Amino acid sequence: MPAISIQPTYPVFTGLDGLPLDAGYLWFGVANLDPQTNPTTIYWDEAMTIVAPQPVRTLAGYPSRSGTPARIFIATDYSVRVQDSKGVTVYNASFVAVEDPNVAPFVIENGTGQEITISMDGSDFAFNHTQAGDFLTYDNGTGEFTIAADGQPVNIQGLTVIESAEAGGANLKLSGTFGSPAAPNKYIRSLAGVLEVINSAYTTPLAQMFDSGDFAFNSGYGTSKVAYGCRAWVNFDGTGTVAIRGSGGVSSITDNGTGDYTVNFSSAMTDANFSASAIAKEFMGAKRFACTAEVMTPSASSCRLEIVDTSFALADSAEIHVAIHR
Amino acid sequence: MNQRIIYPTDDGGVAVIIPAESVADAMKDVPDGKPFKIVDVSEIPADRTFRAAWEYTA
Repeated sequence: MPAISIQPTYPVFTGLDGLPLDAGYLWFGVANLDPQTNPTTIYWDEAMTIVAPQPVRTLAGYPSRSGTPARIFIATDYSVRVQDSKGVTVYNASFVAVEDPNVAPFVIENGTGQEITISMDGSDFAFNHTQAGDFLTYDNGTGEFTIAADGQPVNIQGLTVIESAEAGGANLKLSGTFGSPAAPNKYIRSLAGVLEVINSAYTTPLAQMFDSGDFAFNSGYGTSKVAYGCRAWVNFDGTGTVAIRGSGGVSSITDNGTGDYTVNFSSAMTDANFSASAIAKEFMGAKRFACTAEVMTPSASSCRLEIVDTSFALADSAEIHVAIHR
Repeated sequence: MNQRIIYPTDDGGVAVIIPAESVADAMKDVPDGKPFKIVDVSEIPADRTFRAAWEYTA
């Protein structure tokens, strides 16, 4: 740690005779206004939590608090009046600027006209390069952390952030590349309210999530299109001891009788206007036929279906598959 | 799942609920107001030849 020059701990106010002012008065006011009639708030502590009453008395030239020297803190530019013990003005200063030592930036120059500045203003932080657009900032007020590199990628531990310079870029909060040389990079961006995954050439959305909740993806469609998933499905054996082989979004099936089943949903649909697809098969000796699986009474919470064999009679089937789309 | 829920149907028969995951989840599928019983699957006939003749006994 380098040595630091010791500075006076407390400011000293003097009278017109040049001697430390004892039992004097210190008034602090709004800049450019009379400090006695327009006082401003001053504090005893640097955190500015303990308000100092005015006027502040002096003790052997020092501002005093409860009989001991004290320091005075203020947040803004101010005016000041100093009076001696008899109330005679020693001097007035209508404007005194508050200098925040944190504001002065730290500058690094490389001798070729390029420089880097690092500055702090309160809790805000900025790191700037002389090339326009290259910066890193933190705004303590909004909590925003911003990085820009004049159109060039900025690498952050494998995440590449590119500048929001494309059309509609006002809505672009993050673009990034992920992956490794063995796995081509993909990009993620939020553009005009749509969250997108972009191909490695950064030209075509591969998947999109819209504000409406719709999800679109290109999985053989040719382009990214809104797709609708299966909300419920079940594969069950309707013969012998009726049993479910596999299911999703289904709480149970009800065996109502021969060839008569109800598929009950785990969560109710929005309404009964879903699309139900059902198929069953029937064996007649060595031959296999597709049975009619007729959806009889759909409701938001269930879907009843009947299985009819080639004789148009209700029949159990060992293979019944049902899928619900909405 | 080795348990089933049975309840009487309006036409005098019996309906058998086959839970997908748990009996607790399937309880909601019993129609409101219907009496029901939770039975072991072994109590349900595997021979469905006379399925329409099954009856519910309390």
